[in-house]
Amino acid sequence: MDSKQLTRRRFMQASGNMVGCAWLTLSLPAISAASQEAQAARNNNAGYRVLTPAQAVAVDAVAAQIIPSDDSPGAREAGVVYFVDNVLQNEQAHIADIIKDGAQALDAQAKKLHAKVFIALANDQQIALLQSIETTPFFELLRFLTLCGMFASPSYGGNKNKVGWDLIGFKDQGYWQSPFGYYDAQVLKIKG
Amino acid sequence: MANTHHSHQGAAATAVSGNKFSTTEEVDFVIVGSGAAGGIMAKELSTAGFNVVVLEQGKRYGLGDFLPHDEWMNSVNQKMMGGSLADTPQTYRETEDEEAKELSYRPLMYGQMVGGSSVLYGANFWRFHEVDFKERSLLGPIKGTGFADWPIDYQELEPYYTKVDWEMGVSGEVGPFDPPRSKDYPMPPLPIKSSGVLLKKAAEKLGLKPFAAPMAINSTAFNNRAPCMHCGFCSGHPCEMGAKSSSLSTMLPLAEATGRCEIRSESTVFNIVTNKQGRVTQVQYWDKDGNEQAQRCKAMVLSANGAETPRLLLMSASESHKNGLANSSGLVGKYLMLNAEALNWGVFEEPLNEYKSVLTTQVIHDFYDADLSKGYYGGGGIDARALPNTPIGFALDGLPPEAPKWGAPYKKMVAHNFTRTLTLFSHLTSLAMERNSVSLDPKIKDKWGRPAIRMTYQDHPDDLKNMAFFSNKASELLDAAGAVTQWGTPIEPTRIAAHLLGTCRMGDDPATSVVDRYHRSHDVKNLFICDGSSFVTSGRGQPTMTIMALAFRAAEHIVRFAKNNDI
Repeated sequence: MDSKQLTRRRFMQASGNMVGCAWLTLSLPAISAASQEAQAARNNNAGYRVLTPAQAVAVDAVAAQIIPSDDSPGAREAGVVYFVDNVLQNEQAHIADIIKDGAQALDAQAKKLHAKVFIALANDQQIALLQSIETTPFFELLRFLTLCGMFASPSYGGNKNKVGWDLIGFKDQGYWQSPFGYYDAQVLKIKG
Repeated sequence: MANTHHSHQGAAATAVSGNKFSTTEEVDFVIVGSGAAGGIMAKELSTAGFNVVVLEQGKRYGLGDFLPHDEWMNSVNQKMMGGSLADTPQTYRETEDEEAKELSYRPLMYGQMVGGSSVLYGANFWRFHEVDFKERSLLGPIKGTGFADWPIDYQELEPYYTKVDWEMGVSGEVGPFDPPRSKDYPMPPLPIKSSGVLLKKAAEKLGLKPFAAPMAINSTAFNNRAPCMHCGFCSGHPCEMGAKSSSLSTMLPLAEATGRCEIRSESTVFNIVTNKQGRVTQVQYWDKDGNEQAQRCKAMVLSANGAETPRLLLMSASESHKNGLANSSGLVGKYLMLNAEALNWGVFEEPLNEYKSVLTTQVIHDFYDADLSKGYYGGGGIDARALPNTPIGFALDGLPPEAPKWGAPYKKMVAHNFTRTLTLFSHLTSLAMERNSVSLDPKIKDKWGRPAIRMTYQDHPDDLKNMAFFSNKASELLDAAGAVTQWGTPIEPTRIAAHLLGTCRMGDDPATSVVDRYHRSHDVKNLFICDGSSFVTSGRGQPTMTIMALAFRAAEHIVRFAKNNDI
């Protein structure tokens, strides 16, 4: 029986010896209202709540340099900017000003150097500008938020369609069976 | 405790509906903390017939609250470990002559929820070995330290380790270096992972004796609880199956089922009140609405962990206890030990997929004992895992130090390495030194106005030498395992820990210890203290099993004292 084809519930029934499955139904409303809103905002292209449209464009462009889109989806396809906007209103509200001010400063710096906002710069110009601000709190925090948005549960607005998890080969399947990886599978093969 | 005998006879009658006690009712015991020790205390004392109120500062969650798996909330925002830094700050300094500062993280990590850190632990359940209790006698004194024997030995604790195996639930198999045990493990080991296969192969190549990691996780259905589903969200995460043997999934339900135990969550204790006779009479706390409350009690058990326990004792200073409660020795908060660590990483050709299943499945204890011929004191064990094994943690911290931090090269590397990375984690001794402590920060307060926990900590030079020894061993092991690339963290001072030990140490002499061999405080007859703070030496990491064994043993003695009117 291929365990991957089983739903979690069916797996639990099949695995036998299960006690007290009440938790399963209890868990259904567990996605918070805030997370549902974040998802809805992303899906409907609704407005941002913390970032201004210009700041959001800059944040999205920086995120797209941190994890670029190439032969696989990057931060842009993952909707990292929606995650950032969501968490700046909630868990990470204390850094909202650094991100907002930093996004504006980035555009100002881009204009000063090249007479264009950050997103309008050529790719190598964007990279050079970001390299020059790599150790600023703005860049370090936005890198932190970008990685979180790429790899957090999609319920927070990023990692759309689990593109972040697909990138690294992670599946939040909720249950697994041995063998788990190549080396333990080899041992089972030899034994079996 | 006067009249305990009688109150215990009539205990069931005094419990009102839903196990609620009135704060003005003098309950038999108030227990502060519901974690590894508090959960066992609650179960043992209530099943022995006593009325118990457990005060827990954290929230109460049910298993249903633990899905979906949520690395963002649990790991990054530490929702169950105190939440935002502004609400529950801590400060850190290396030595006493510095001013302590707030860092970008809390240096002393612990769960703040019903069940405490036992809900979030990685569930490594090594017993201490016989040597752990008597190294001072075996090895002699170590200058500048409080290196001492425990007042109890392994033989005395063994029945309670076995109780932990069978009442909490531990999976494993007897290892080549294990101390004697009176009963086998109740469950076989969890299935070996790729990390375990690689460590085993490498260790055997080097002539070492690896064995299956003992884990407080059900490998089969046990004690009416489900087996592990190998979801991979273990350390730092609650278990939605209840397969992890936490206080929340094992002891606390049994305590509540007696009808004599009320678990009062979101109850933040700030003062222990004593009378003129020097006895605890009530425990003051803020309820979840911020209102001041006080629970009257005949006796008290403090099991709030190695950081919160000394803070509360120090905060409970009064006219008759100017340096804090139970502190005539001046040692409350002193001798903080953390378990030093060494971390080494390797990247392998094929996927290990360490994001699946439990933290670790193989361990080596070949270097457990201290060997003074190496020129220093120290020992430890090594396990194999991936650290971090979850996506956000790995993206932030899983690549080698010289790796690109962003852009296409970063993306390529994180995509390749996530499933292929192995960490060898060395769990090591920390020497007890009086200069290392938990104390009250004089300036910074938490959101309730309690002084922030201030950590003062500097490793002993031997701790650092031991880290270097283990880092070299781990590096040899990674080579032997066939790692394509490998690196280790630099040997540097310990500034973060989840093992909070030694701050109310146990001993026979009231001048050099805070609690006696039965966990009764030397100064206050009806105050018992039992958690990581009771430790005399650090052991080699994985202290929770010993905390639980101590709690089972202490509870047995407390019940005996209470029934003999000797409290």
